[in-house]
Amino acid sequence: MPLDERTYETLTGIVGELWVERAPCVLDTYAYYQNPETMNQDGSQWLPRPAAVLLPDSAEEIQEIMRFCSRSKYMAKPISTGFHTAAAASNDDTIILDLKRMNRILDIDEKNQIAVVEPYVRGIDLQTQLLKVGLNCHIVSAGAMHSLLASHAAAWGYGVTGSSTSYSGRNLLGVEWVLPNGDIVTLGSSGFGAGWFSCEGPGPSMRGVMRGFHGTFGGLGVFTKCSIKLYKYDGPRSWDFEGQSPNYVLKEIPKRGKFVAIAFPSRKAERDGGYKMGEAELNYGEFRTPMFFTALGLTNNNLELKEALDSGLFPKFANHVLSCAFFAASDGEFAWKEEALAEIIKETNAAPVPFNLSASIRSLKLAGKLLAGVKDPLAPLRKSPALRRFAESSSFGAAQRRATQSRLFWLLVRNAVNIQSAFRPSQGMATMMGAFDTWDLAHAQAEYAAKAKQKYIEQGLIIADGGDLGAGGTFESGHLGYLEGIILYDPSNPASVEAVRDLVEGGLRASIDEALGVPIAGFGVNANKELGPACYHYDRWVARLKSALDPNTASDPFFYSEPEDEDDNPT
Amino acid sequence: MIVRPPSRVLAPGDVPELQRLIEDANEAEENLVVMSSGSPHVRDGLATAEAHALVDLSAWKRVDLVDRRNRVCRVEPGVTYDELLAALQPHGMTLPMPLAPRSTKSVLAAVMDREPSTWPNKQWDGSDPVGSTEFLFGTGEHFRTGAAGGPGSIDAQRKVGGAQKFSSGPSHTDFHRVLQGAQGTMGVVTWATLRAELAPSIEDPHLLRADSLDALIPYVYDVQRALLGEQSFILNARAAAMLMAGMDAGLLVALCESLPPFLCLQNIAGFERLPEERLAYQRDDIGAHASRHGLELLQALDAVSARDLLSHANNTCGEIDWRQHVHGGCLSVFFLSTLDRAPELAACFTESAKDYGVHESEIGLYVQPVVQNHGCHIELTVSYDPSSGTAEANMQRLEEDAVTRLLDAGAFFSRPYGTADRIFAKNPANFALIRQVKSLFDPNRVLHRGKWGL
Repeated sequence: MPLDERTYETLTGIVGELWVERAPCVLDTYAYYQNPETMNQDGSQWLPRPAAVLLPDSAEEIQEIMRFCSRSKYMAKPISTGFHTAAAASNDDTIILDLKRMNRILDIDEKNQIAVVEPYVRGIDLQTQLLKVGLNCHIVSAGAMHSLLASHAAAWGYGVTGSSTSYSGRNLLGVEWVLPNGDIVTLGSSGFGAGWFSCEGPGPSMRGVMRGFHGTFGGLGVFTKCSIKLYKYDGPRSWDFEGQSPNYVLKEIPKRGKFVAIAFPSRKAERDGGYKMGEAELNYGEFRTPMFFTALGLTNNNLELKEALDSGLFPKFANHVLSCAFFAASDGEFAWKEEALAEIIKETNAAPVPFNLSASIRSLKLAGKLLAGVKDPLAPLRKSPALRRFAESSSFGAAQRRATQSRLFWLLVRNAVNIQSAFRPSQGMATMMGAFDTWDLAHAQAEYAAKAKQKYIEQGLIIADGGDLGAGGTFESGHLGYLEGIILYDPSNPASVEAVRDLVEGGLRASIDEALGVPIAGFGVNANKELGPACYHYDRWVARLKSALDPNTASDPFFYSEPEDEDDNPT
Repeated sequence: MIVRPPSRVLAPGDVPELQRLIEDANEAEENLVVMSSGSPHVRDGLATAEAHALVDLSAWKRVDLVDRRNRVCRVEPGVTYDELLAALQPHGMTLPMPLAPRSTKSVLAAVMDREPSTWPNKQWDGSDPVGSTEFLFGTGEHFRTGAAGGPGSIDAQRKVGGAQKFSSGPSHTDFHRVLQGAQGTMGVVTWATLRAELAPSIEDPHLLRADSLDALIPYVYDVQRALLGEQSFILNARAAAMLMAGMDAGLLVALCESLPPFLCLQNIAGFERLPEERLAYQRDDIGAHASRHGLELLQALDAVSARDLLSHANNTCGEIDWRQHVHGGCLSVFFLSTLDRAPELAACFTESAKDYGVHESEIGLYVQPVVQNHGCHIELTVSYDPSSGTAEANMQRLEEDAVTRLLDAGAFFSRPYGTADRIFAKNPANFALIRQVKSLFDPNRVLHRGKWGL
């Protein structure tokens, strides 16, 4: 509902007239996000129009807003960069707090590898500063434009450098949190004036109620600053390039840097390879690159993509590919990593995809014809280390090789996710599964998703991508693994949208029936109802927390939890 | 505080029995203090002035999962470090260890207390190595955290490749963090999965000596940032001598005299893959860092070898804590900070100690990088004879004074024991939140009632 004048005056009194917006045309820009039609039960592409949008500039202003919401019918919903539908208001009594004015990098402590950031500091903003001094942060695969505070404190997301930079939710070292009632609490060492290095304690860690795996998505107050863990980066501090967006080519491949796409002969070999590389602490960045994504990444438009796939080459070598980047701080380390990788390639009968061969459509068509009767085009490379060395170091195809290595540099180091390209085939992308645990479990989820998609592919309702778009990688030197199942669909076709909804909901049920873990979509009021009974009734506990910390529902509960229903309380 | 002995000791045999016991305590408004380690207990974690029953889980000894592929194991509360290492060893694995824990120390109790390990670059998150847990709330309700939280039974999860290794979840929850550091006030953990590591197949430990703590710190920053090496920590001569001397008072004196003022242990290792080659490049790279800072990698000092020190660090120290070996009593004040602040915070303690007649040479110092050196555990110790009432009272006064000064100087008492419990008053908003969570997790306050005023 539109704000009444009294409310408008109250809010302008807090943030200033310039920073309160209630024009419908502007409010509607906050009502459209990624794949809304799959989240809305009626298939609509529009989410609720918020009551207003405020742009506060400080924790103190947010404190006043939360106090106002606590005593009124309005609820607050913070967003920073916003991308997913979870950033939207759940009804028209919700006031969006757009935090883009809070965009300061407050501190980079190089020595202790800690950065303190406000909500609208994006991955690219911080990383650009960090790489110059040999540090990096974890950036989720939504892309480097995403808010670091959002992924670390309030939401989730998988990033391609997880093998060396962990997972955002585990990299949180401190947080300033405006509670729904307006109280401000700073967790961990910073709350004691001791620095921003630890989020744990004293005594029990309240980090355990402020985010969880999925985060609270703005459903339990507002996070106004946080400190995050930084990691070493042994890649180049600067680089020259040529070309134009999105195909930038490094003029020189970094010294002691390696970019490779490893094609495994089977899923089992791919699984084994992930564990082995993890144990060897090889990879800086790592992305399981499904066959369809490989073809997508090598083409510039949908016609080229179709022709590339029609060549028949990709299913022959690219069903089990891990794209990897590693760096070393010394020649000795680099030599050891090269030798370890060679051993792993041999043990798993894998082969590096030869980057020195042209990936033009003409070349692919020709190669497709020439290799029509060949089952395994990479067999010679699997058998011959000498041939692998030739492909990696000869002058033959060197320019092509550098271009492909550059693509991996931008993907795996700069997190330059070509979102335009990812949405290109059908304009719609959704995801399913995506529970964290082991690399083996990640593959079990990818296999489930691939199988579940076949029916809809055969009906022509989703893109015929081969089924397996299991995207992700290993984390923390192979200790953890993650794959989510991407679905490419047509948002303008209600039947396609319905197919996606079936797949995502089916994935949720399969997670329960087949013990595949809490999926990436397993958050918020609706999912909690389904998953909670299968997961020790966590739904009751978050509802109790919501009741205790937000008794007046000042924070929009929809993507977190409604307050406890008295009837549900067994105690 | 006047410490009360327990009114009775309860030893439930399994989770349902424990659950009934907690439910009964809710009915009877009985206070329960839970214990997993064997005696003698070093800190005052179990101490309470309230009437209470002691729940002893030290007989829960199962290690029922050792998974080499996923580098994970599952332990019950009573499993000690010796028992767990013996279970992991045939699988070529080990666990990051605290510095020479007591032989009766519960692994689960240590990791749930965020006890630092000597292997900092294997700790990605402050809650590591804890994976999933099973616990009972103060109401007796049953819960599992992390990947174990479901969906599905443990067996069903393992059948599809899960290993209960991820610690967060289910969904919006991360309750293992609430239980960690809570000293038994928020719930009772009945098992935990722990992140194991490959055991080194070859090791080449070294020592670096220095006349000042400041001289070692730049080196530690460089090596830890590069994630080079394995176990690593700093001791001053007194602490190193206490660790190495055992019960031998004469040896303690001799070691104190012969050891350099400060030393850093630096283990270098190779694992299953190309071990010799890994060790060689790591030794070169670590050696280069040492040289750049005017330090030298030594295999031994006059009085002690790196291998001996590593062996002491990586093994249990017997039933009596090593800090108490010679004199019987030991004041231990520990907190977190960043490594660059260690010298000034150590000096702050030394200043306090002088006021209580403790000479600098009597103070032990242990500096342990944690969470890949994003912070460090700093521990200061003073040995004393506990049979002397005067000495005991003097140490109590020193502790109170030192904690006050250190708090003001910016020490973070993440694990509050003793007089450090006053830290809560410094962040009332955080404490209010803890109280709210306590009222949800343990509404009738049957778990360690009165602890920290909860």
